[in-house]
Formats: sequence, structure tokens, C-alpha cells
Amino acid sequence: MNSKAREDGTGLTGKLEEDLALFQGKMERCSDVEYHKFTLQSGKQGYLIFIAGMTDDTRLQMEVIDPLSRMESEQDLSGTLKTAGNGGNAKDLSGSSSDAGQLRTEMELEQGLTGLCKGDTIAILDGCRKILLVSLSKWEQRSVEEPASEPVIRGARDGFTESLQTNTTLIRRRLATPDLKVESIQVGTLSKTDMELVYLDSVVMPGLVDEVKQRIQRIVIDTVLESGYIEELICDNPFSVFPQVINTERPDRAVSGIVEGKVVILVDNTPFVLVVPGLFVETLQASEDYYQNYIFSTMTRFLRLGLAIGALVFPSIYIALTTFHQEMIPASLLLSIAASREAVPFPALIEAILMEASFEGLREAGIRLPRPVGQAVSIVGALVIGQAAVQAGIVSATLVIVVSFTGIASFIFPIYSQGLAFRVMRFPMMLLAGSLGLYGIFLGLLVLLIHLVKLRSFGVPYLSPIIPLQAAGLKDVFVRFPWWSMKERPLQTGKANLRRMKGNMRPRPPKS
Amino acid sequence: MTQISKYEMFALLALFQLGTTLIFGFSSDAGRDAWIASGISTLFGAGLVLIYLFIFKATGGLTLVEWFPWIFGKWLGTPLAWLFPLLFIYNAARIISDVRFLFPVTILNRTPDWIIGFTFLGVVIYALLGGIEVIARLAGFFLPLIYISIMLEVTLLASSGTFHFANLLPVVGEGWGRIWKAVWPLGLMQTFGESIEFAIIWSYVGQKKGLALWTAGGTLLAGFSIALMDLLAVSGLGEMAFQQMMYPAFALLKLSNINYFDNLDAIGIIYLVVNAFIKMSVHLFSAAVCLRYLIGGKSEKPMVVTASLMALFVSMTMVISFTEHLQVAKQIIPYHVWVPMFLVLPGIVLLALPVRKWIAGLKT
Amino acid sequence: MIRHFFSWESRNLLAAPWKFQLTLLVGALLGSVITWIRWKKKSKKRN
Repeated sequence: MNSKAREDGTGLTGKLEEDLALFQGKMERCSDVEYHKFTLQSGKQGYLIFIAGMTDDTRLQMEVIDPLSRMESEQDLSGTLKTAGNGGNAKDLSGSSSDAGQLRTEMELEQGLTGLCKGDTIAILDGCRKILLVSLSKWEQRSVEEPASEPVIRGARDGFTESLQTNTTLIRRRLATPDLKVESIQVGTLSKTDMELVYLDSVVMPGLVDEVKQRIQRIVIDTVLESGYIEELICDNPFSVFPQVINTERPDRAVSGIVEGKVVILVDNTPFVLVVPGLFVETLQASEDYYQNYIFSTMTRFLRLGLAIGALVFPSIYIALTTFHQEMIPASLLLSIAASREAVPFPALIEAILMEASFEGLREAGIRLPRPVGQAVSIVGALVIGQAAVQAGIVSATLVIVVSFTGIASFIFPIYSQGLAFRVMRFPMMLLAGSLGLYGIFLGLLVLLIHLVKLRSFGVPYLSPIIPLQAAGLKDVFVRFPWWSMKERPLQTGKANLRRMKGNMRPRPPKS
Repeated sequence: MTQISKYEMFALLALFQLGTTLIFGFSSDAGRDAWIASGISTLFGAGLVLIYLFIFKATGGLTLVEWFPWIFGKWLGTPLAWLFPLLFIYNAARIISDVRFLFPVTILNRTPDWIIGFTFLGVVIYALLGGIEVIARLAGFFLPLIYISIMLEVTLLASSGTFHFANLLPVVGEGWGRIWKAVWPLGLMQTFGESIEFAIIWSYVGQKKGLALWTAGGTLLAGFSIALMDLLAVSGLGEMAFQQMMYPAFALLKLSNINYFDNLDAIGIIYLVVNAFIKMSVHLFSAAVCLRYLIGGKSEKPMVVTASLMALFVSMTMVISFTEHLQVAKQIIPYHVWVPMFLVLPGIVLLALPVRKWIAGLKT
Repeated sequence: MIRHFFSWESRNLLAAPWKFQLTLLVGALLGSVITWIRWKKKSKKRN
């Protein structure tokens, strides 16, 4: 194998200067690569190759360079190198040369280069054809902070970061059991992004892990910059606006998914992890619901559901009622609406679309604008849209109420991507209402419902447990039952291991 | 093969039988005794549906179209089987016409009726392309919703003092004659006779044990709801208005006048959209399954589109005036088409079953 | 009268229901011909 690699030109030659040239040729015009020459006490020379900024400098010095220069004879190093190359334990090597955490040897130049690009330090030695890889990678990374997209009042404040290892730790710390499996997959021909599938072996939905793996292994793409790439490449219906994969920044949310029999996909370089299968009802459940008083959580859930429907149809209902069905509006309300619309030159549909579009624009600008300018713009926007437009008679005051209510309502989704879906669907609904009135709204809702009924996420019906109806599953949909009564995992994903607590956990006063 | 649960079949059956009758009024010929006529129709109707189910089971789970070639052989059976998809398409076309006429009259005054027909059919096709599973699941979702809104409506109407139960008196004041007239054949054939289409749907039910109970339950639920609606409509509107109104239930909704609910039209639209949607889907799906069996093919999808387009064509060329459209439903179709096809043909099949068994016994 | 061409028109149905019945029967017979041809082809393929 040794000779074969050399003949292919894929391995090293064993002559130090030639090997160095090989690396330098490959890493030509890469100014961040550093070559550090070292000499063993015997006079034998070698090179350490690493990328500046991706290696822990102090550890490199203490654990690799110092031991190497103290090494007495070349037999020591080459001998131990040989053992490692022949399949011997890497620990043997570390015992003699360094205390570095992870050591491995590679024969192929290509694999050595991949390791180098991922932050490993390479050691080559004169007269040796093996590449020694020392994993001392370290780079600047964000510390664990409160997740910006899913803040809570009650609940853990830690959020996932861009580091895969940190994210795995955050999950592992919450599930201290060997049952928690972390399988590694790499995707991306250029980016070589590390991904991890995390699940509980005894709980996970049967067949799910294989299905997820199969879908991920199908992917051939150059780079994966964010988990959104993966989300779009593994979902069931790529033409749907609804998120069929839940993404979250919160470790507690991810863990609750794992415990329910789902698989969590961690992707390197992003704090957003994916939970599959994703269901519609989950996008209306905040992790806080489970920490607060259940009666309050139930109320919040009804509120959320109502606002979600409002976010979808409120402007359309306004359009339908004012354009087609004035007789349905109570007389006194009709009068005030008519009075406010008196000066408005546009039909209700145009008026509403104008306002909704400018509201969406304002919101988008609010995200993109540089911080110091943002404040000014939002004040100006609010004044322009809220006050001046009404006074100028371009839009009616009633509509401003409708639009601002809708705007607030579309933020209530604990899962942001579901809010996006509803924000998009609002516009077709408005067009339908403007052309066909209430009939159009119901038709639109019916089409949406049919679409949602057809939708599946990894084989699980998207609207379950509402459609198809599973009475037991309803304990955690509209109403959040108290913990002592949620004895079982959700049926659709937790079938493998249904029971999650002992019966009769309801606390009672002690009998005196 | 896709499968539906018994509850979903139950919901589908109940919504199918509620159908547009909830809007149009049922057995209105019986005047203030319409609710009695509906009740009687329901009892007989449940019997009729159970007979269909019996044939379905006795043939070993054959669907409606397969009955005839199975009993009468290739040459006589095939044309008889072909009658059914054609009739179902006609029935679907009638629903499209109902929708096309009801919306412009009730809530959309200026909208051309063909747009409404087109859009509605489009939605139905979209659902049907997902298979019976989608329709059944939707039905399972809509059924509780419809009943909640019926309860809401009744409560609102009752609290606004709309009901005058004196309108119902005297009970059977004009004798049983007109009640029986309303029951036979219209009361029995409309909705309950049409349920023969479930001889196709049943074959999709995964667990067939206890099917009869669910079927009878669905029929009784739908029938007695219709009877209740009749009762309320008569007590709200009075006998004369009830008989003359085209859509008594809609008129009833307009009666309510409670603080901020000037009228409950929106609930009426929900009834109509949901029930017409379910009924039309079942019609077209049954037609598509029949066509697939008769023409031969793997998938129902092209058949769904074919049947839908045919129904649209029939509907667009069908109606000149809405009163005539309703008159046809009351005077012509039940006698000339439904009785022979929903009663006589299945009756012959029922009688032929033992004969066929006997012949098969002789051969062996 | 082109408007009363189709037998399923309500006015035709009211005046002459047998026309509609006839249409159903003729349609069924035409359909059966298709069925018979298709079934024949199928049985041939099996042989």
C-alpha cells in the first residue's frame, strides 16, 4: 500500500524537501499556512505544517514542538510512527512525542490536506512517508448566549452556538445517558461540513434514523453554509411554504424533540439545529409553555391559535366585508368604517395591499438597517404609516388598526419560519377576498387546509394529531395538560417507547 | 392502497347526507310536518343504506360497479355498471349548479356564476388528486366543526327569540298523506339513496369490523340533524314561508338579530362550502373509481380530471333557471332516475345474490 | 333551439324525462363498448 500510494503520486516520497514542496505546491497562494522546521536531537529534520489562527499556539508549543526537540534519537520517533502506521494504538505515539489530544496518521496526501484545512497540525519527517496529524484546532468562537430568535422569561437562557462541539455538549448535558446517540455525517464537497444526528436509541421513531441518513447522504453539494440548505434538501414537499422541519436555537427545545422520539440534526457553523419530523402544532408551542403554569399556558395557546388565524385572514375579512358584504357589518360599525373610508381614493383591496406591503417593507428594513439608523427609520415609518397617511386621506384609520393588529399577530409564532409562511399566505388570501369576498376566503382556507392535509413530514401527517384525529395527542395541542397527566409520548413519533412516566404522579396532600 | 378509518367514513357519510339539504330544506312539501317526514325518511334511509352495506359484504367486498358484471355477466352487467358513473357525474354537476346559483343570490351579487363554478371545481379537483384519504380526513375535521356551529347558531337564534313553536301545531294536522308523499320517493332517495356511492368508499375502509354500526350511526346523525333543522326552520319562519323559500336555512340565519350579529350569513357560507365540497368530492371520486374500473387503468387521477370536466360541462349546459333546477330535483330525478337506479337495480342484485349462490352451488 | 339541445337541461328534463334516461342508456352502452374492447385486449395480453 505504501508503494502504491507513492506510484499514484498521492502519497509522500520520504524525502523531506520533496515532500515539503508537495505541500507547498498544493497550498500555493495560501498565505495563512505556516511551515515550522524542527530538528530532532539526532539531527534529523522535519516540518510542522498548520494554519495560523486555527491552531492552539500555546498547546502546539508545549505539547508538540518542545517534546519533538527533546526527543533523543530518530529511532524513537520513526519507531513509534511505524507502530501507529501499522494500526497500533495512537496512544503509543503520544506517550513518546507529545500529550496532544488526538493523533492519527494518514498515507494519502489528500486526506492530510483535508485535515490541515480543518485545523489539524501536520508533522512530516525526513525518511518517513507517513503524515502525522495532530488535532490541536482552536479558533475564535462565540460563547454560549441567550438565543436571539427565541427568548423566554421562564426557562434556560443558553442557546446553541456556531460550534458543533459546543452544541453537542449542550444536548448531552441535558440527557446524561448512553442511550443518546450522536452520529456524524459530512456533507459538502468543498465545505466538508460536519453534521450530527442526535437521537435516543430506545425512543426514536422506528425507521426514522435510516430515513434521515438516507436523505442526507443523497445530498451532493459544494457548500453547506447553514442548516437551511439541509432543511430544503431533505423535506418531503419542496413546493410547500410551510416549514416541514422545525429549526430552533434552544437546546431545551431540541432535547424535548429528542425525548419525543425525533431526530435532531446539528450542523456545524450555525446555531440553528433541525428537528425532524416537524409538525404544524409544534410551531404553536413555545418551550416556555411547559415551564409555566399549565392553565396560563393553555390560555396562551388559544390566544396564539386565534392570533395565527387572525394573522392569516384579518385583512382579507376587512376587504371582503367592506367590498362585498356591507350588510353583515353591524350598522353602527359600518357607519364609522364608512366615515373613515370617505376620503380614501382606493378600493379596499388596493388600500390593504399597499399598507400590508409597506408594513412588511418597514419590518424588513428594520432588520437590515444599521443599528443607529434603525431607530430613526422605525419612528419615521410609524409616523408616516400610522398618522400622516390617515390624515392625508390615503388610507383609512380602520385599516391601520387592521394592519397593525395583523403585524403583531404574525409575530406570535414560537417558530419563526411558520410566521413567515403565514405572512406570505396573507397576500393570496387578500387577493381572493378582493375578488370573491367571503366565498373567496373560505375557498382559500379550504385550499390551504387540503394542502396541509396532504403534507407529510418524514411520513408523519403534518396536521397530526388534529387531522387525522388522535384523541390522546390532543392533550398537548390546544390545551397544555399538567405534567402529571401527560404520561405518554406523542403517538405519532413516540410509538417505540410510549410511556414516559409512572402513573398517578399527581401530587396530593398527605393523609393526616 | 390508501385506507381510511371508520370514524373518517362516519364523518364522510354524515356530511355527505347533510349535503346541501341543510340549506335547501328537506321534505318541505310536508309543510309544518317536515320534521316528521325527515325523521321517517331517516329511519327508512338507514335501512336502505344498511341494505347497500349488506350487498357490499355479501359480494365479498366488491364495489358498486363490480356488482353488475359479477352477477349478470359481461354482456348485461357492463352497461348496467356504466349507468352509475354517468349518474354520479350528473349528480356532481347538480351540486356545481347549486353552488353556482346559491352564491350569486345570497352573498355575491355581482360575481359571474361560472367563476364560482370554476373555482369551486378547481378546489375539489385539487383535493381529489390527493386521494380519498384527503377528503376523508377533511371530513373528520369538519364534522365536529359543523356541529359546533350548528349548536352556536341554534343558541343564538333561540336567545334572540326567533323560534315560535306554535308554528308547529297542529302536529299532523293535515293527515299523514302529505308526509308520506314527502318521504316517498324524494325524502328517501335524496341523500339516502345517493349513499349507494359508499359502496365504493367502504372498500377503502381499513378495519371493516363494526362498519354497519358506524354506517347506521352516521345516517341517523345526519338524518336527525336534518329533521331538527326542519323543525327549527318551521318554528322560525312559519309553514307558509318555509314552503315558499328557496333556502329556508339561509333565511333562518338572516332572522337572527342579536347585538353585533346582524345576521349569521357567514355560518351559512361555511355550511354550504363544506357540505357541497364533501358531497361533490364523493360524487366525483365515486365516478372516477367506476371509470377506472370500467376503462381500466392504474391511477384514479386522470379519471378524476375527466369526470370533473364532464361534470363542469354538464353543469354549464344544464340550468336555465334556478326554479326549474329545483323543480327537476323534486319532480323528475327521484322518480325517473333515482328510484330505478338506487332502488330497483340494487333490489335485483339483492334478489340475484341467492340465485347466483345456488347456481354456483350446482356447478360444483 | 340550441339552448335546449342537451337532454340534461332542466327544461328538457321537465318536458321529457325519457330523453335523459335514453342519454344515460346510450352513454352506458357506448361506455360498455370501450370496456369490452379494453377487457379483450387485457385477456389477450394474459394469453
